[in-house]
Amino acid sequence: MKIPYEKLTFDIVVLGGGAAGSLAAIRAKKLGANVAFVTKESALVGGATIMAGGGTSLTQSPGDNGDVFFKDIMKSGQQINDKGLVHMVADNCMKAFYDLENCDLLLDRDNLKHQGSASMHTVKQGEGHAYPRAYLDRREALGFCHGLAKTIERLQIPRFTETIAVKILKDKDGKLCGLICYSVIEGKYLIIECKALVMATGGLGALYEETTNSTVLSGTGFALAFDAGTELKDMEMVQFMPLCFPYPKIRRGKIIGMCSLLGPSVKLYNGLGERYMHKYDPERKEFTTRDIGARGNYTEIKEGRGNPDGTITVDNRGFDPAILNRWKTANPFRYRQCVQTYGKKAGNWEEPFEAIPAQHFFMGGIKINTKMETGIPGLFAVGECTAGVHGANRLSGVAFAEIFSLGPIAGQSAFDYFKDAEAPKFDDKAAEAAVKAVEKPLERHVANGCRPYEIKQMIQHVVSMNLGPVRVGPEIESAIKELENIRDNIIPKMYVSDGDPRYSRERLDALEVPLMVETALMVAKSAAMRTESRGSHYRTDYPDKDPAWLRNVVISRGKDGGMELRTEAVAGEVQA
Amino acid sequence: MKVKVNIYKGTPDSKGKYVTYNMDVPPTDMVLDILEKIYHEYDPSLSYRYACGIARCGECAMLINDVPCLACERQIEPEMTIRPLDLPLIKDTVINRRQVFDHIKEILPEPGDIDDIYDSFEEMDEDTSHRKIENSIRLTTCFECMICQSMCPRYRSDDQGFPGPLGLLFLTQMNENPAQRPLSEKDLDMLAASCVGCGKCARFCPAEKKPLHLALELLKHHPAKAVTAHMVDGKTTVQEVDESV
Repeated sequence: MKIPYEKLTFDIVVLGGGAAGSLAAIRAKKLGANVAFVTKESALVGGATIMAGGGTSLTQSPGDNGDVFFKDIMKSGQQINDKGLVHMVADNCMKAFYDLENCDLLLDRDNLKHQGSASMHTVKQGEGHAYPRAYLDRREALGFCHGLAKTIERLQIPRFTETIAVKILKDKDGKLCGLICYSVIEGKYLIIECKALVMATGGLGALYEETTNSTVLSGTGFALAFDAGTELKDMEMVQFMPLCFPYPKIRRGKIIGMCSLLGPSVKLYNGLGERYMHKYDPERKEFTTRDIGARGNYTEIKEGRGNPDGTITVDNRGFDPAILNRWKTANPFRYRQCVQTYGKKAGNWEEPFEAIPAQHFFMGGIKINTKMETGIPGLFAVGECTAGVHGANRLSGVAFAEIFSLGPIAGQSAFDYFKDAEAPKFDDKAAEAAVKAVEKPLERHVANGCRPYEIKQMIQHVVSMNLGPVRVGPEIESAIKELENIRDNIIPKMYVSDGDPRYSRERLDALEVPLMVETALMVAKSAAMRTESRGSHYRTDYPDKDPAWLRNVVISRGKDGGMELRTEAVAGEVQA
Repeated sequence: MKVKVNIYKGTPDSKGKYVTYNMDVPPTDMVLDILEKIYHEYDPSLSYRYACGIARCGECAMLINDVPCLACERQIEPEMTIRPLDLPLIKDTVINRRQVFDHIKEILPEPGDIDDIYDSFEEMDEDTSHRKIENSIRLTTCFECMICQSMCPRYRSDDQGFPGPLGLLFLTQMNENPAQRPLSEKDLDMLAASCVGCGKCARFCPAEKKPLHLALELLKHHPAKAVTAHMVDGKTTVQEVDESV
């Protein structure tokens, strides 16, 4: 084998470079563990966190409390959320949020003196929230990223940037004992022995052609977790954002937002010049929830009623200048992108502009309990890569409430496990064999083969066409067939032509592709199983919610390595 | 739109060269779209770095026709020469960001215990409180693209002293954050003495709120006389930079 590898040992490894992983790493390090931080990005703190608008839902208004917040999250999630996890987020979000100021971070406040709702810069009431809950930040999410990154650097936590995990290792007793990573910068494998691993690998946006996520969120973490033998839940639940940029290519699918952000004057038109949202939500029209908004826009475009370039038109002439001002202040980055993309006039809403819906968030993922434990001793998970908090649909601002509340708990649980755990029986030979198995396809020379990026695009096309905001049985079935075909017949023909392993995008793509197709298959198979419509999962062949489906779809790894699907009663005690 | 692209190919241990591509692309394309196209259709070994595509991760900063900018928001031109920032190279357009961060990390103070920060807020007068918040917010809108670091005539990553403009910004962020202990006089003096005040770093900062301008402005008011002297003696003052941006 040409590609070198290096062996390293840590107590705890945190996998994933967003805020959830950062908070877990910071907590475990502060408790005294030797922690390593592995991230696919080069940014100090990146992941999905850096892409976010920074909105955080908090129980900060008078009269609001954890119980009211709990009910709103459950209602939005259509009651298939894990109640224990929801309680942890709803009850602890305020404290966890203010704790962030222990991480080199000053929250966006009106003044320093008072903690609580009065001092927060902007408080907005979002769709589905019983009280105004949204903390908005003039830096969007950059403030959080700065603070967490500085803390990690100052705590001297070793950071492996631009490093992708390719395999999770277990010992003979089935306990976690390490992982195999590939450093894109150095072009070498890292065999890391550790007692505990916290997965905070985020969502799966890059499985779709259009996503608000960054390119690193390719969903490989789900396939790694599945391969290790842990269970995954709610894999059919993908959330879409109604309004995103259609061009330029590199910005396609990146977030503009929802109609409610643009004020009450906003109207959506299809390519025939008709307003259409009343067909999807007669009462709220444009100001409906994310899932219905995205579904409406998607349907108009898919059924040929979009603009010639496959978009819908957003007309916000007649806007209230105060709302434009709020938009500029609270979403400075999105405003700047709008002006760049559409020009000054449309960017300032004086002219209509075009938009498309795009994948935004993933509610499903690794099944965890309230200690962030998975089924594998030593393996923990937190953040968007886990299932349970959001059920069938996520409420605005709850993703940040979730990671701020649960991130440190994952670090705590990993530490508690590590300090009492016996050293795992790490098998060096097995780890080397695993490296060889991962590397083998990359050394292959195939005549008439496929380049990794081409296969990536095939996967994205199949997923976008068949597993979007509007689904139907035969399309889901065809997605399963096509994805299996890619896995069985096309990936074996994949080859890497780039001979230099240093910063090779092609090697990175080649390592991601086999994992991406597994994750896509999990989404497709779960979508096929849920024969109803609930939250973000909408099927035209089963358009109604079915009370018998007040259950979760769970995927586990069968003895032959295949996916076994079953349904399970919703976790957690029913609130009295 | 027809474009001619000359792109740098090379590694630290080889003599770099420019490769030229002529292609036809949509006029709405950004430079990063061109790099993707080259990787897909012409050169599978092309190294370029990006994550977000919306000027947020700061990873795609490079020199385009000798102007440092983010490839994701730089519109295409009929003829373009693309090369990496003037920082330690990994390959092609990809610079060694880790080395720069590691260098800055060495000068960051260890985090202190700040459980009592809210008490100190209570004693602060209204104006100071407001100014601290506004400064902190503006200083933390940087997305660490490293353009400033690459433009600084005093920064060299093998030099153990001055951490460069990005290090200066990091330290200023901590100094202005009321939830942190202020920096030591020694650190401030080091920054003040090292920065020549030429303002080159801030000139091409792509961050909307220009955090580095503020950091330089604050440093200018540092009591160490050396700073004031440098700022006045420097060819470009911070004031001039502000006007030119």
